[in-house]
Amino acid sequence: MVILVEILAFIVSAILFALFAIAVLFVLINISSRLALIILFFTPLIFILVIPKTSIAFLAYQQMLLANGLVPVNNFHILLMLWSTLIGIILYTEFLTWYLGKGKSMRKNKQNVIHDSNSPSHIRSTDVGDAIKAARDILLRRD
Amino acid sequence: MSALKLLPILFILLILTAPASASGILEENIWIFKGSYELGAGERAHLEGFTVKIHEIKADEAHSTLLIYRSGIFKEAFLADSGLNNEHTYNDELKIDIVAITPEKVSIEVYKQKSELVWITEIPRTAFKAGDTLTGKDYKLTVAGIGEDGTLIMVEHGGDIHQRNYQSGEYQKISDDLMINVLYLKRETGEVFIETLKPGSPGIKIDVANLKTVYEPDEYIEYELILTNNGTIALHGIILNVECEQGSVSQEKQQHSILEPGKMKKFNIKVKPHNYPVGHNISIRSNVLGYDYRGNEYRALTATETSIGPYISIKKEIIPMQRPSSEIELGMKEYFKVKITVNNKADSQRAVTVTDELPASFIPDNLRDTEWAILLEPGSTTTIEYSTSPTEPGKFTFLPATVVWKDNGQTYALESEINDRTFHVRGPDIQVEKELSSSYMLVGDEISITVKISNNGNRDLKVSFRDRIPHVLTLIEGDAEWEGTIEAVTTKEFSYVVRAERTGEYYLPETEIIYEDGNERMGRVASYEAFLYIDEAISEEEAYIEGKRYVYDIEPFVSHPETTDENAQITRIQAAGFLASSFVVLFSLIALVPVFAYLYITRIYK
Repeated sequence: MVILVEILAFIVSAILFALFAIAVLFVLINISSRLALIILFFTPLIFILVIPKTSIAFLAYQQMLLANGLVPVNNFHILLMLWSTLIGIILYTEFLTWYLGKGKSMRKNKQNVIHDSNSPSHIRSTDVGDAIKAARDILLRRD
Repeated sequence: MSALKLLPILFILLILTAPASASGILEENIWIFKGSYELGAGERAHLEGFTVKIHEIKADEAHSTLLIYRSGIFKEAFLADSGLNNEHTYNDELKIDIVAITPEKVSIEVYKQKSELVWITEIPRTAFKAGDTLTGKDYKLTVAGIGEDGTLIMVEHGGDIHQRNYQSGEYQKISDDLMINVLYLKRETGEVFIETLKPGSPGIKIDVANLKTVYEPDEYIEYELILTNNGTIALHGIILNVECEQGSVSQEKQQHSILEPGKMKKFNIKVKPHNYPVGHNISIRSNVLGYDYRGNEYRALTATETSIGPYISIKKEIIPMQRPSSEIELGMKEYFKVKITVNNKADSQRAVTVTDELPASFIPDNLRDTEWAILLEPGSTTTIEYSTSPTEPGKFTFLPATVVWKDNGQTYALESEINDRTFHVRGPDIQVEKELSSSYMLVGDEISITVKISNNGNRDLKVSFRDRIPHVLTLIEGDAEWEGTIEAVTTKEFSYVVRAERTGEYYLPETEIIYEDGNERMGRVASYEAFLYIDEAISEEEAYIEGKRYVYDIEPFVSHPETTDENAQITRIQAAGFLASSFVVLFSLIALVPVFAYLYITRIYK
């Protein structure tokens, strides 16, 4: 009976983590890496703030004990691992995108001056509508 | 006219009386041996109307004076010795033979004349013609001729030849061992009908009646010895000698004068067996001696066997009882009365030890043990009575009781008969166990306490319990009490969660349940105590993961104003802060390489 509950808890936890990872990756691929990063950071935080008891219980739930019981693995550890992985993916995607798009050409042509319409000077607009648009463009990485 | 009517009746009477005279051939006036006696001076021998008395014995002259009485009246006196003058006959009726004369006793054999059946038909009526021969075992009979003056018969017997003319109805005693009888001579056909006769012999058959297979040691072995004469002629001077080595025979020698063929005589035998500590077999030998009319001896011997029990006997009786409902607080309704009876049949006092072994779950009432030392007077009986109660229901059989005693330095033991009756005790069989999820905990930790109640009996029980929780523990979840019915052969578990408040070593008190069956019988059963060690709570630096809970810190959060749940050990802000800081640390670590790469590229190639 206890084993059955543990198996069930593991499956539910795995599904939740998988859904979270899929959602983040979906956003990363289809929308924006920065939005994915925001989702990645805020989702657990919102859950903690809204339903602290359940969330703490979920994160504190021990999934397994490794090395003869010396190393317990809780959902919190799994969240950390998931975070590490997804942060890595997002950061390196961002870096590689930048490198392939700009850095490479910079390397080839030292003298080439990059014209960037999305430079921060452009954002300094008094028009609120423009500011929202600019923020949206940043999020959606529209050059 | 009336005389004529009587003629046929007279004729019939004549026919009927005719065979009676024919049997006269078979009988003979003979001296029949009536027995041998050893008589001292003044002693008498009584014998079918006659009395023989020894008047005096003169041992130096080896003669004695004997007196003969008939129907108590003196008839004659005679002087006899064991030599030539050793035989005396009185009135052709009584013959006395003097066998021996000693200074104390005169041995005599007494014969009486009597017409008695002695001849038995050997070859029945057979038709012979002149020249015919009949060969018997020790004779040869030849019909030499049949003529007008009778039939001439020649008999060869005992080396002699006897020849004579016989008429119808004539018979002749050829010797003491052979007689021929010519029944009828039929001259017209030249036939003669002859039968041969031989002296008969008595036979002795012994039967035993009314003999038990086992006798008590204080009981007389009494039975009947039935003597049957299965021979053809009477048996005389019958003497029965009874001997027994393991007991004393009341009447060792018994006599009987005559036993006709086909008749039986009952002798009553009475033996007092000797005492033995253990059961044993006893053998009684009966020797029968008898004589035929010629004084030939006939003997028969029989050995009768039976068993004698030990002189100490023990009997155990089990009487199932039921307590009235008002007396039942604990245990079963059924109890048993044990009655042990010990009997000493020996002729002396005996010290015995009686031991009774009870089934494993039985406890004797008001007794420390079931062993008794008793002094038994000879022939006395002692009864031990006690009650015993079962502690659990089930099926039980009682073991036999044992009595141990000493006789001549040897120890003997005897068990009562095995009582294989099974007693079925119905009732509750309930068990309670108390289990902790962990016997080690820290202050502030929570453990689960489980009370397991098993009803293994065959009745549904109403059960109630209230678990006492020590002050060092606080009930967090569940109930520490319950009341309800537990069905037969089922187990119920009750759990509640407690939190440790203070350090120390504690014994959680036993859980006592009160049960009641349908007959308003109540009982109590308790679990064992449970040990619990409560350790100090660990500090922040020593935070570690224990069990299924993540211990962050304990102390500050208990009274934190932002605690949303009083049982939670961490606030949402702290949890969120912890998560955020974790994220930031991870992000910073992972971002180190791409950031440096970015800075490098932008600085170098700008």
